[in-house]
Amino acid sequence: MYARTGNQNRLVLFILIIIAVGLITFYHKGGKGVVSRLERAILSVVTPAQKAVNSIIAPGRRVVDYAVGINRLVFDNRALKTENIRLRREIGELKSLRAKNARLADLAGFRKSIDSTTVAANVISRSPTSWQSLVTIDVGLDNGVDKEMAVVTNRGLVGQVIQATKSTAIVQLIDDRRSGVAVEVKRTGATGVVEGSMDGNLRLRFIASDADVRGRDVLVTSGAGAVYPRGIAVGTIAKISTTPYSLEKQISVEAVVNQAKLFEVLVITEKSGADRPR
Amino acid sequence: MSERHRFALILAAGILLQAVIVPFISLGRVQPDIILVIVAVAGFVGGPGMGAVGGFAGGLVQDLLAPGSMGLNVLIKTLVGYFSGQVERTILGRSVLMPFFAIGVVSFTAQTLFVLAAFLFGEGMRLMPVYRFIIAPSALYTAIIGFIIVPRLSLLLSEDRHKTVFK
Repeated sequence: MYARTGNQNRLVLFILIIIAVGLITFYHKGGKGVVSRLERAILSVVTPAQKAVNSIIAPGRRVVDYAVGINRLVFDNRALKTENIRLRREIGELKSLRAKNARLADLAGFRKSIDSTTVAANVISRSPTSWQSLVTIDVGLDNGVDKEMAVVTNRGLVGQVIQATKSTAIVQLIDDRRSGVAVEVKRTGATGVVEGSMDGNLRLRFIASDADVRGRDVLVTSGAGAVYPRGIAVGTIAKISTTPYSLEKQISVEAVVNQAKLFEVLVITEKSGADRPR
Repeated sequence: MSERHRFALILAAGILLQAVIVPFISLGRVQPDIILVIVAVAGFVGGPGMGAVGGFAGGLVQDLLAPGSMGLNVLIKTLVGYFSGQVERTILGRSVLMPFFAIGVVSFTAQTLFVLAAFLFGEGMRLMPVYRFIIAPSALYTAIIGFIIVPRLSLLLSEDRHKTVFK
């Protein structure tokens, strides 16, 4: 049954490569064609199994984490006693700072990001390949979640929804190689794009070569584009370097959200009025 | 049950394992590629044609499982399946460790091709961190999985139920 000639095998290979290159060339993320329907069909089969396995493994994982945590507690206890004395001194200083902060917050017109309408979700699975940074969450179209919606935690930006079924959705994390987030430096307003990469590192690109940026500068979403509302924390600048043959600075970014420890997230289903695209 | 039906069932099981179990046993971005192991064994046992078709099917489903990217896994696994079929005929020397080395080489090659194809299609990257922290450890992880499952898989897929590869 398998005894094809060499020429037949080469012909089969040639045809399959043409189809594969055609898929790469003509595939459009976010389209509504046959491929998108196939994606949803496959996901609707697989995601119930992912949910079931997660419901079995998650409690076990917590037990393991708890056992490991007990050992750490003994060491932490000693350190905490010393820290306690130092903190009592600081509390006094912080009380006066808190009052000042409240006045400044009013003056700056500071808004909490929960101004927008959000849906809470649990992370039930992660990417099935090494080359993409994706998670699956347990809310979908039935919960008002759809493609191109921002996903956040209380710490900052997680990513965006790239595919949704009735009860689940796939979220592309900001460190995915295909992710790009328009940001601005909170301190100076300089704009750029934070891109993910194959090795999972974040880089700030397309920023003016004379822009005023420093290590530990906070990057927030600039609101450019239709997906991410303005003002959500993305990361901090970790390292700035230049190479002799490049006009662009090499700026690495550390995300504010720990992608490896995502358990619950919020999906922004409706932005507040000021953040809707003009 | 025909060999093609057996392969389809095994591939379906492999896809479910990859989608449902592998994320829980991954170490950061380091993951075994069970679909690649199945495709390679299909090539070893069934020849280049079977390997190419199996690679196409496995790669297509793997791309459908991870939306946002389409075609790279299809292309790479088609090539890997084809050349696995070519290579098995020429491997000299049989050893119980051969599945480990064969799958390790296949995995390393497949990931290198993936990175090269991504680069050719316009994705920038830093190669050394990618090789050090993702490709090499993933190839080792996949090789360990291959060492465990290749002998059994080759028995299941082979027309001659007594034939195993690399022996």
